[in-house]
Amino acid sequence: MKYLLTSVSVMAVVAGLFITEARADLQFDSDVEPALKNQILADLQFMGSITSTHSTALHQQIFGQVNGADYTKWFEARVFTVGKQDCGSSIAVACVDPSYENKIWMTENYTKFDHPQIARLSVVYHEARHTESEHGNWGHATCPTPFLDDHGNPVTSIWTGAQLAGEAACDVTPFGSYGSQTILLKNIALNCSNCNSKVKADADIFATDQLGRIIDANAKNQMKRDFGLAREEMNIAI
Amino acid sequence: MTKKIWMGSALLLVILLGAAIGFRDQKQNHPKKEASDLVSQYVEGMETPPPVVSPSPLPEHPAMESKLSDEDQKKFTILKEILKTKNDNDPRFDRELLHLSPELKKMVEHFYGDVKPELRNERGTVVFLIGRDLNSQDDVNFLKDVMMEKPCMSLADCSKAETGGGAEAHLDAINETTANYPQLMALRQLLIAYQKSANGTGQAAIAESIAHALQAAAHSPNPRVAREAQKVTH
Repeated sequence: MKYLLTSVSVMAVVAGLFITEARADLQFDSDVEPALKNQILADLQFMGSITSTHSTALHQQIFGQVNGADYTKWFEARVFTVGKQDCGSSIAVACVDPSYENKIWMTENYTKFDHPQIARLSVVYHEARHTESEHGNWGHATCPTPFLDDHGNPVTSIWTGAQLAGEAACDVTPFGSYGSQTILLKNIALNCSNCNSKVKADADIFATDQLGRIIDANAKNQMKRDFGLAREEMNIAI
Repeated sequence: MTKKIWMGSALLLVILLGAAIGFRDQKQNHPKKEASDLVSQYVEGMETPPPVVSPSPLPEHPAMESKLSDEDQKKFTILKEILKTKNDNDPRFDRELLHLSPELKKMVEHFYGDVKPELRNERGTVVFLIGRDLNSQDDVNFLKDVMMEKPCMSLADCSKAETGGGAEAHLDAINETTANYPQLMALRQLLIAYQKSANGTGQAAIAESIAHALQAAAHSPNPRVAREAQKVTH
Protein backbone atom coordinates (compact mmCIF):
# COMPACT_ATOMS: atom_id res chain seq x y z
CA MET A 1 0.00 0.00 0.00
CA LYS A 2 2.84 2.35 0.86
CA TYR A 3 4.46 1.68 -2.49
CA LEU A 4 1.16 2.38 -4.27
CA LEU A 5 0.70 5.69 -2.51
CA THR A 6 4.27 6.69 -3.24
CA SER A 7 3.90 5.83 -6.90
CA VAL A 8 0.66 7.72 -7.23
CA SER A 9 2.25 10.75 -5.56
CA VAL A 10 5.16 10.69 -7.97
CA MET A 11 2.80 10.40 -10.92
CA ALA A 12 0.74 13.29 -9.62
CA VAL A 13 3.80 15.49 -9.28
CA VAL A 14 4.95 14.66 -12.79
CA ALA A 15 1.45 15.19 -14.17
CA GLY A 16 1.32 18.53 -12.39
CA LEU A 17 4.53 19.59 -14.07
CA PHE A 18 3.08 18.53 -17.39
CA ILE A 19 -0.05 20.63 -16.85
CA THR A 20 1.96 23.63 -15.70
CA GLU A 21 4.11 23.43 -18.75
CA ALA A 22 1.04 23.21 -20.99
CA ARG A 23 -0.22 26.53 -19.58
CA ALA A 24 3.03 28.33 -20.36
CA ASP A 25 2.81 28.13 -24.17
CA LEU A 26 -0.01 28.93 -26.54
CA GLN A 27 -0.75 25.84 -28.54
CA PHE A 28 -2.16 25.73 -32.03
CA ASP A 29 -4.03 22.77 -33.42
CA SER A 30 -2.35 21.21 -36.41
CA ASP A 31 -5.12 22.40 -38.76
CA VAL A 32 -4.43 26.07 -38.06
CA GLU A 33 -2.71 27.19 -41.23
CA PRO A 34 0.61 29.03 -40.96
CA ALA A 35 -0.87 32.25 -42.34
CA LEU A 36 -3.64 32.25 -39.74
CA LYS A 37 -1.23 31.35 -36.94
CA ASN A 38 1.23 34.07 -38.00
CA GLN A 39 -1.53 36.67 -38.09
CA ILE A 40 -2.71 35.71 -34.61
CA LEU A 41 0.82 35.81 -33.25
CA ALA A 42 1.55 39.14 -34.91
CA ASP A 43 -1.64 40.60 -33.49
CA LEU A 44 -0.90 39.25 -30.00
CA GLN A 45 2.59 40.62 -30.28
CA PHE A 46 1.16 44.05 -30.95
CA MET A 47 -1.04 43.74 -27.86
CA GLY A 48 2.03 42.64 -25.92
CA SER A 49 3.85 45.82 -26.90
CA ILE A 50 1.24 48.34 -25.78
CA THR A 51 2.25 50.93 -23.21
CA SER A 52 0.35 53.65 -21.40
CA THR A 53 0.42 55.81 -18.32
CA HIS A 54 -3.25 55.59 -17.43
CA SER A 55 -6.01 53.02 -17.22
CA THR A 56 -9.62 53.53 -16.28
CA ALA A 57 -10.99 51.92 -13.14
CA LEU A 58 -13.07 49.32 -14.99
CA HIS A 59 -10.09 48.40 -17.13
CA GLN A 60 -7.99 47.87 -14.04
CA GLN A 61 -10.68 45.64 -12.58
CA ILE A 62 -10.81 43.45 -15.65
CA PHE A 63 -7.37 43.54 -17.30
CA GLY A 64 -5.08 45.50 -15.02
CA GLN A 65 -3.10 48.30 -16.63
CA VAL A 66 -3.23 49.29 -20.27
CA ASN A 67 0.01 47.60 -21.12
CA GLY A 68 1.29 44.62 -22.97
CA ALA A 69 2.43 42.67 -19.95
CA ASP A 70 -1.01 42.76 -18.34
CA TYR A 71 -2.79 42.02 -21.62
CA THR A 72 -0.52 39.07 -22.31
CA LYS A 73 -0.83 37.71 -18.78
CA TRP A 74 -4.62 38.07 -18.90
CA PHE A 75 -4.85 36.29 -22.22
CA GLU A 76 -2.43 33.50 -21.35
CA ALA A 77 -4.32 32.77 -18.15
CA ARG A 78 -7.42 32.06 -20.20
CA VAL A 79 -6.41 30.71 -23.58
CA PHE A 80 -4.08 27.75 -23.84
CA THR A 81 -5.03 26.47 -27.25
CA VAL A 82 -6.19 27.91 -30.56
CA GLY A 83 -8.11 25.72 -32.94
CA LYS A 84 -9.80 26.26 -36.26
CA GLN A 85 -13.39 25.66 -37.23
CA ASP A 86 -16.23 27.55 -38.89
CA CYS A 87 -18.10 28.15 -35.63
CA GLY A 88 -21.27 27.05 -37.39
CA SER A 89 -21.51 30.27 -39.37
CA SER A 90 -20.19 31.71 -42.60
CA ILE A 91 -19.70 35.10 -40.97
CA ALA A 92 -18.09 34.17 -37.66
CA VAL A 93 -14.54 35.30 -36.92
CA ALA A 94 -13.99 33.34 -33.73
CA CYS A 95 -15.90 31.45 -31.08
CA VAL A 96 -15.63 29.45 -27.88
CA ASP A 97 -17.10 26.06 -27.06
CA PRO A 98 -17.35 25.73 -23.26
CA SER A 99 -16.84 21.99 -23.52
CA TYR A 100 -13.25 22.75 -24.57
CA GLU A 101 -11.68 24.54 -21.67
CA ASN A 102 -9.24 27.36 -22.26
CA LYS A 103 -9.58 27.12 -26.01
CA ILE A 104 -10.72 29.56 -28.65
CA TRP A 105 -11.57 28.66 -32.19
CA MET A 106 -10.69 30.89 -35.11
CA THR A 107 -12.31 30.76 -38.50
CA GLU A 108 -10.75 31.54 -41.85
CA ASN A 109 -12.51 34.90 -41.63
CA TYR A 110 -9.93 36.11 -39.14
CA THR A 111 -7.61 36.70 -42.07
CA LYS A 112 -10.12 36.62 -44.91
CA PHE A 113 -12.22 39.52 -43.62
CA ASP A 114 -10.35 42.79 -43.76
CA HIS A 115 -10.85 44.07 -40.23
CA PRO A 116 -8.66 46.78 -38.78
CA GLN A 117 -6.07 45.13 -36.55
CA ILE A 118 -7.36 46.41 -33.23
CA ALA A 119 -10.88 45.28 -34.12
CA ARG A 120 -9.56 41.78 -34.86
CA LEU A 121 -7.76 41.72 -31.56
CA SER A 122 -10.82 42.86 -29.67
CA VAL A 123 -12.67 39.81 -30.99
CA VAL A 124 -9.90 37.55 -29.68
CA TYR A 125 -10.17 39.14 -26.25
CA HIS A 126 -13.96 38.99 -26.40
CA GLU A 127 -13.79 35.26 -26.97
CA ALA A 128 -11.08 34.80 -24.34
CA ARG A 129 -13.52 36.28 -21.84
CA HIS A 130 -15.99 33.54 -22.79
CA THR A 131 -13.52 30.88 -21.61
CA GLU A 132 -14.10 31.86 -17.99
CA SER A 133 -16.16 28.89 -16.90
CA GLU A 134 -16.08 30.12 -13.30
CA HIS A 135 -18.27 33.02 -14.46
CA GLY A 136 -20.63 30.91 -16.54
CA ASN A 137 -18.55 31.80 -19.61
CA TRP A 138 -20.12 35.27 -19.44
CA GLY A 139 -23.13 34.22 -21.47
CA HIS A 140 -24.84 37.02 -23.34
CA ALA A 141 -28.13 38.61 -22.49
CA THR A 142 -31.08 38.61 -24.83
CA CYS A 143 -31.40 41.91 -26.64
CA PRO A 144 -34.68 43.57 -25.68
CA THR A 145 -37.77 43.86 -27.80
CA PRO A 146 -37.87 46.46 -29.20
CA PHE A 147 -34.12 47.03 -29.27
CA LEU A 148 -33.56 50.73 -29.71
CA ASP A 149 -30.42 52.82 -29.73
CA ASP A 150 -29.92 55.98 -27.68
CA HIS A 151 -31.97 57.91 -30.22
CA GLY A 152 -34.89 55.54 -30.30
CA ASN A 153 -33.99 53.91 -33.62
CA PRO A 154 -34.29 50.10 -33.97
CA VAL A 155 -30.94 48.35 -33.92
CA THR A 156 -30.94 46.11 -36.95
CA SER A 157 -28.48 44.30 -39.10
CA ILE A 158 -28.44 45.90 -42.51
CA TRP A 159 -27.08 42.72 -43.92
CA THR A 160 -29.49 40.11 -42.75
CA GLY A 161 -32.37 42.48 -42.27
CA ALA A 162 -32.79 40.77 -38.96
CA GLN A 163 -33.35 42.79 -35.88
CA LEU A 164 -31.15 42.07 -32.94
CA ALA A 165 -34.18 42.18 -30.68
CA GLY A 166 -34.69 38.81 -29.02
CA GLU A 167 -31.23 37.50 -29.90
CA ALA A 168 -28.49 36.55 -27.43
CA ALA A 169 -26.28 39.35 -28.65
CA CYS A 170 -26.24 41.86 -25.80
CA ASP A 171 -24.77 42.29 -22.32
CA VAL A 172 -26.22 43.72 -19.10
CA THR A 173 -22.92 44.17 -17.32
CA PRO A 174 -19.66 46.01 -18.04
CA PHE A 175 -17.81 42.82 -17.24
CA GLY A 176 -19.13 40.46 -19.89
CA SER A 177 -17.53 39.89 -23.26
CA TYR A 178 -19.06 42.91 -25.00
CA GLY A 179 -18.44 45.09 -21.97
CA SER A 180 -14.84 44.04 -21.48
CA GLN A 181 -14.23 44.33 -25.22
CA THR A 182 -15.59 47.87 -25.19
CA ILE A 183 -13.55 48.81 -22.14
CA LEU A 184 -10.42 47.39 -23.75
CA LEU A 185 -11.00 49.32 -26.97
CA LYS A 186 -11.90 52.58 -25.28
CA ASN A 187 -8.84 52.45 -23.05
CA ILE A 188 -6.60 51.88 -26.03
CA ALA A 189 -8.27 54.80 -27.78
CA LEU A 190 -7.85 57.07 -24.77
CA ASN A 191 -4.67 55.89 -23.12
CA CYS A 192 -2.34 53.92 -25.37
CA SER A 193 0.97 55.79 -25.49
CA ASN A 194 2.56 53.96 -28.38
CA CYS A 195 -0.46 53.43 -30.60
CA ASN A 196 -0.58 55.62 -33.66
CA SER A 197 -3.53 57.87 -34.46
CA LYS A 198 -5.07 55.41 -36.86
CA VAL A 199 -5.17 52.61 -34.28
CA LYS A 200 -6.61 54.93 -31.65
CA ALA A 201 -9.26 56.16 -34.08
CA ASP A 202 -10.13 52.56 -34.95
CA ALA A 203 -10.36 51.59 -31.30
CA ASP A 204 -12.70 54.51 -30.69
CA ILE A 205 -14.96 53.67 -33.61
CA PHE A 206 -15.31 50.04 -32.62
CA ALA A 207 -15.66 50.86 -28.91
CA THR A 208 -18.56 53.18 -29.65
CA ASP A 209 -20.17 50.49 -31.72
CA GLN A 210 -19.76 47.73 -29.14
CA LEU A 211 -21.14 49.98 -26.40
CA GLY A 212 -24.41 49.70 -28.24
CA ARG A 213 -24.64 46.08 -27.14
CA ILE A 214 -24.80 47.07 -23.46
CA ILE A 215 -28.50 47.20 -22.78
CA ASP A 216 -28.58 47.90 -19.07
CA ALA A 217 -28.72 51.66 -18.52
CA ASN A 218 -26.77 51.52 -15.25
CA ALA A 219 -24.05 49.39 -16.81
CA LYS A 220 -23.79 51.70 -19.81
CA ASN A 221 -23.68 54.82 -17.66
CA GLN A 222 -21.05 53.23 -15.46
CA MET A 223 -18.92 52.60 -18.52
CA LYS A 224 -19.44 56.12 -19.87
CA ARG A 225 -18.42 57.59 -16.54
CA ASP A 226 -15.42 55.29 -16.50
CA PHE A 227 -14.40 56.64 -19.90
CA GLY A 228 -14.89 60.21 -18.65
CA LEU A 229 -17.32 60.97 -21.44
CA ALA A 230 -20.71 62.63 -21.43
CA ARG A 231 -23.48 61.17 -23.56
CA GLU A 232 -23.05 63.90 -26.17
CA GLU A 233 -19.34 63.20 -26.42
CA MET A 234 -19.97 59.51 -27.00
CA ASN A 235 -22.17 60.36 -29.97
CA ILE A 236 -19.62 62.76 -31.43
CA ALA A 237 -16.81 60.26 -30.91
CA ILE A 238 -18.12 58.09 -33.78
CA MET B 1 5.04 -10.28 -5.83
CA THR B 2 2.01 -8.00 -5.89
CA LYS B 3 4.10 -5.18 -4.52
CA LYS B 4 6.65 -5.66 -7.24
CA ILE B 5 3.95 -5.52 -9.91
CA TRP B 6 2.61 -2.28 -8.50
CA MET B 7 6.07 -0.75 -8.28
CA GLY B 8 6.94 -1.85 -11.78
CA SER B 9 3.72 -0.49 -13.24
CA ALA B 10 4.10 2.82 -11.43
CA LEU B 11 7.70 3.18 -12.55
CA LEU B 12 6.71 2.39 -16.12
CA LEU B 13 3.98 5.01 -16.03
CA VAL B 14 6.39 7.63 -14.69
CA ILE B 15 8.88 6.82 -17.42
CA LEU B 16 6.20 7.01 -20.09
CA LEU B 17 4.98 10.37 -18.79
CA GLY B 18 8.48 11.74 -18.72
CA ALA B 19 9.08 10.55 -22.26
CA ALA B 20 5.86 12.15 -23.42
CA ILE B 21 6.87 15.47 -21.91
CA GLY B 22 10.29 15.28 -23.50
CA PHE B 23 8.81 14.39 -26.87
CA ARG B 24 6.34 17.25 -26.61
CA ASP B 25 9.12 19.69 -25.80
CA GLN B 26 11.02 18.72 -28.89
CA LYS B 27 8.05 18.80 -31.24
CA GLN B 28 6.07 21.75 -30.05
CA ASN B 29 6.38 25.24 -31.38
CA HIS B 30 6.96 27.79 -28.66
CA PRO B 31 4.77 30.61 -29.76
CA LYS B 32 5.18 32.40 -26.44
CA LYS B 33 8.93 32.35 -26.83
CA GLU B 34 8.61 33.50 -30.43
CA ALA B 35 6.34 36.33 -29.37
CA SER B 36 8.68 37.46 -26.58
CA ASP B 37 11.67 37.39 -28.88
CA LEU B 38 9.79 39.47 -31.41
CA VAL B 39 8.47 41.88 -28.79
CA SER B 40 12.01 42.66 -27.74
CA GLN B 41 12.76 43.65 -31.32
CA TYR B 42 9.61 45.71 -31.72
CA VAL B 43 10.74 48.77 -29.84
CA GLU B 44 9.11 52.03 -30.63
CA GLY B 45 8.56 50.93 -34.20
CA MET B 46 12.26 50.53 -34.92
CA GLU B 47 11.55 47.00 -36.12
CA THR B 48 8.32 45.75 -37.58
CA PRO B 49 6.82 42.37 -36.75
CA PRO B 50 7.03 39.57 -39.28
CA PRO B 51 5.15 40.84 -42.32
CA VAL B 52 1.78 39.25 -42.96
CA VAL B 53 1.23 39.87 -46.60
CA SER B 54 -2.23 40.93 -47.65
CA PRO B 55 -3.94 38.10 -49.55
CA SER B 56 -5.37 40.54 -52.09
CA PRO B 57 -2.78 42.38 -54.17
CA LEU B 58 -3.07 46.13 -54.04
CA PRO B 59 -3.48 48.03 -57.30
CA GLU B 60 -0.42 49.58 -58.87
CA HIS B 61 -0.38 52.86 -60.77
CA PRO B 62 3.18 53.27 -62.05
CA ALA B 63 2.29 55.90 -64.62
CA MET B 64 0.46 58.10 -62.11
CA GLU B 65 3.06 57.51 -59.43
CA SER B 66 5.90 58.59 -61.67
CA LYS B 67 4.32 62.04 -61.96
CA LEU B 68 4.48 62.57 -58.20
CA SER B 69 7.35 64.41 -56.59
CA ASP B 70 10.08 62.27 -55.03
CA GLU B 71 8.77 63.03 -51.58
CA ASP B 72 5.21 62.10 -52.53
CA GLN B 73 6.35 58.90 -54.20
CA LYS B 74 8.19 57.96 -51.06
CA LYS B 75 5.10 58.61 -48.93
CA PHE B 76 2.87 56.63 -51.26
CA THR B 77 5.31 53.72 -51.20
CA ILE B 78 5.30 53.81 -47.41
CA LEU B 79 1.51 53.69 -47.38
CA LYS B 80 1.42 50.65 -49.64
CA GLU B 81 4.10 48.91 -47.57
CA ILE B 82 2.13 49.44 -44.38
CA LEU B 83 -1.10 48.20 -45.94
CA LYS B 84 0.59 45.06 -47.20
CA THR B 85 1.97 44.13 -43.78
CA LYS B 86 -1.41 44.52 -42.05
CA ASN B 87 0.45 46.19 -39.18
CA ASP B 88 -1.87 49.08 -38.46
CA ASN B 89 0.33 50.42 -35.66
CA ASP B 90 3.19 51.36 -37.92
CA PRO B 91 4.67 54.59 -36.48
CA ARG B 92 5.18 55.98 -39.97
CA PHE B 93 1.47 56.86 -40.02
CA ASP B 94 2.24 59.66 -37.57
CA ARG B 95 5.67 60.46 -38.91
CA GLU B 96 6.04 60.24 -42.67
CA LEU B 97 2.36 60.20 -43.70
CA LEU B 98 1.55 63.72 -42.59
CA HIS B 99 0.93 66.91 -44.55
CA LEU B 100 -0.12 65.24 -47.76
CA SER B 101 0.20 67.40 -50.84
CA PRO B 102 -2.87 67.93 -53.08
CA GLU B 103 -1.20 65.78 -55.72
CA LEU B 104 -0.59 62.94 -53.30
CA LYS B 105 -4.15 63.17 -52.02
CA LYS B 106 -5.39 62.78 -55.60
CA MET B 107 -3.15 59.73 -55.98
CA VAL B 108 -4.40 58.22 -52.73
CA GLU B 109 -8.04 58.91 -53.61
CA HIS B 110 -7.52 57.23 -56.96
CA PHE B 111 -5.99 54.30 -55.10
CA TYR B 112 -9.12 54.16 -52.91
CA GLY B 113 -11.33 53.83 -55.96
CA ASP B 114 -9.18 51.07 -57.42
CA VAL B 115 -8.83 49.01 -54.26
CA LYS B 116 -11.30 46.14 -54.08
CA PRO B 117 -14.35 47.24 -52.07
CA GLU B 118 -13.89 44.26 -49.72
CA LEU B 119 -10.59 45.72 -48.54
CA ARG B 120 -12.36 47.79 -45.91
CA ASN B 121 -9.27 48.47 -43.79
CA GLU B 122 -7.33 49.76 -46.78
CA ARG B 123 -10.17 52.03 -47.81
CA GLY B 124 -10.75 53.21 -44.26
CA THR B 125 -7.06 53.96 -43.91
CA VAL B 126 -7.16 56.23 -46.95
CA VAL B 127 -10.17 58.00 -45.49
CA PHE B 128 -8.33 58.39 -42.21
CA LEU B 129 -5.34 60.00 -43.92
CA ILE B 130 -7.36 62.41 -46.07
CA GLY B 131 -9.60 63.27 -43.14
CA ARG B 132 -6.70 63.95 -40.82
CA ASP B 133 -5.28 66.37 -43.35
CA LEU B 134 -8.59 67.97 -44.27
CA ASN B 135 -7.96 71.45 -45.66
CA SER B 136 -9.82 71.88 -48.95
CA GLN B 137 -13.19 71.56 -50.61
CA ASP B 138 -11.80 68.61 -52.58
CA ASP B 139 -11.02 66.82 -49.33
CA VAL B 140 -14.55 67.38 -48.02
CA ASN B 141 -16.02 66.22 -51.33
CA PHE B 142 -14.04 62.99 -51.18
CA LEU B 143 -15.24 62.18 -47.67
CA LYS B 144 -18.79 63.06 -48.62
CA ASP B 145 -18.60 60.72 -51.61
CA VAL B 146 -17.39 57.96 -49.30
CA MET B 147 -20.35 58.47 -46.99
CA MET B 148 -22.74 58.41 -49.92
CA GLU B 149 -21.53 55.01 -51.18
CA LYS B 150 -23.93 52.09 -51.19
CA PRO B 151 -23.38 49.80 -48.23
CA CYS B 152 -20.96 46.91 -48.47
CA MET B 153 -23.34 44.01 -47.98
CA SER B 154 -20.82 41.42 -46.74
CA LEU B 155 -17.13 41.28 -46.02
CA ALA B 156 -16.73 38.32 -48.38
CA ASP B 157 -18.38 40.13 -51.28
CA CYS B 158 -19.68 43.67 -50.93
CA SER B 159 -22.16 43.14 -53.75
CA LYS B 160 -23.89 40.18 -52.11
CA ALA B 161 -25.93 40.30 -48.94
CA GLU B 162 -25.11 38.01 -46.06
CA THR B 163 -27.57 35.18 -45.69
CA GLY B 164 -27.14 34.54 -42.01
CA GLY B 165 -30.07 34.91 -39.68
CA GLY B 166 -30.57 36.79 -36.45
CA ALA B 167 -29.15 33.87 -34.50
CA GLU B 168 -25.75 34.81 -35.83
CA ALA B 169 -26.02 38.31 -34.47
CA HIS B 170 -23.57 37.47 -31.72
CA LEU B 171 -21.03 36.06 -34.11
CA ASP B 172 -21.10 38.93 -36.56
CA ALA B 173 -20.45 41.53 -33.86
CA ILE B 174 -17.75 43.61 -35.52
CA ASN B 175 -18.39 42.56 -39.10
CA GLU B 176 -20.96 45.20 -39.84
CA THR B 177 -18.82 47.91 -38.28
CA THR B 178 -15.95 46.87 -40.50
CA ALA B 179 -18.21 46.87 -43.54
CA ASN B 180 -19.09 50.47 -42.69
CA TYR B 181 -15.60 51.35 -41.51
CA PRO B 182 -14.62 53.73 -44.34
CA GLN B 183 -17.92 55.58 -43.92
CA LEU B 184 -17.72 55.71 -40.12
CA MET B 185 -14.15 56.98 -40.41
CA ALA B 186 -15.27 59.66 -42.89
CA LEU B 187 -18.02 60.76 -40.54
CA ARG B 188 -15.62 60.84 -37.62
CA GLN B 189 -12.95 62.82 -39.43
CA LEU B 190 -15.50 65.35 -40.68
CA LEU B 191 -16.90 65.80 -37.18
CA ILE B 192 -13.44 66.33 -35.75
CA ALA B 193 -12.61 68.85 -38.48
CA TYR B 194 -15.90 70.64 -37.88
CA GLN B 195 -15.27 70.84 -34.13
CA LYS B 196 -11.80 72.24 -34.78
CA SER B 197 -13.20 74.89 -37.10
CA ALA B 198 -15.85 75.75 -34.51
CA ASN B 199 -13.28 76.30 -31.75
CA GLY B 200 -10.90 78.21 -33.98
CA THR B 201 -8.19 75.59 -34.31
CA GLY B 202 -9.19 74.25 -37.72
CA GLN B 203 -10.10 75.35 -41.19
CA ALA B 204 -12.95 77.84 -40.73
CA ALA B 205 -13.27 78.32 -44.48
CA ILE B 206 -14.53 74.80 -45.03
CA ALA B 207 -16.74 74.54 -41.94
CA GLU B 208 -19.83 75.26 -43.99
CA SER B 209 -18.83 72.63 -46.56
CA ILE B 210 -18.39 70.09 -43.79
CA ALA B 211 -21.85 70.90 -42.44
CA HIS B 212 -23.36 70.42 -45.91
CA ALA B 213 -21.52 67.11 -46.30
CA LEU B 214 -22.87 65.85 -42.97
CA GLN B 215 -26.38 66.94 -43.90
CA ALA B 216 -26.06 65.09 -47.19
CA ALA B 217 -24.86 61.98 -45.33
CA ALA B 218 -28.10 62.03 -43.36
CA HIS B 219 -29.68 60.83 -46.62
CA SER B 220 -26.99 58.31 -47.50
CA PRO B 221 -28.12 55.11 -49.22
CA ASN B 222 -26.23 53.36 -46.42
CA PRO B 223 -28.79 53.13 -43.60
CA ARG B 224 -26.11 52.98 -40.92
CA VAL B 225 -24.40 56.11 -42.21
CA ALA B 226 -27.71 57.93 -42.54
CA ARG B 227 -28.62 57.02 -38.98
CA GLU B 228 -25.27 58.18 -37.56
CA ALA B 229 -25.31 61.40 -39.59
CA GLN B 230 -28.85 62.17 -38.44
CA LYS B 231 -27.70 61.89 -34.83
CA VAL B 232 -25.22 64.71 -35.29
CA THR B 233 -27.18 66.93 -37.65
CA HIS B 234 -30.54 67.00 -35.90
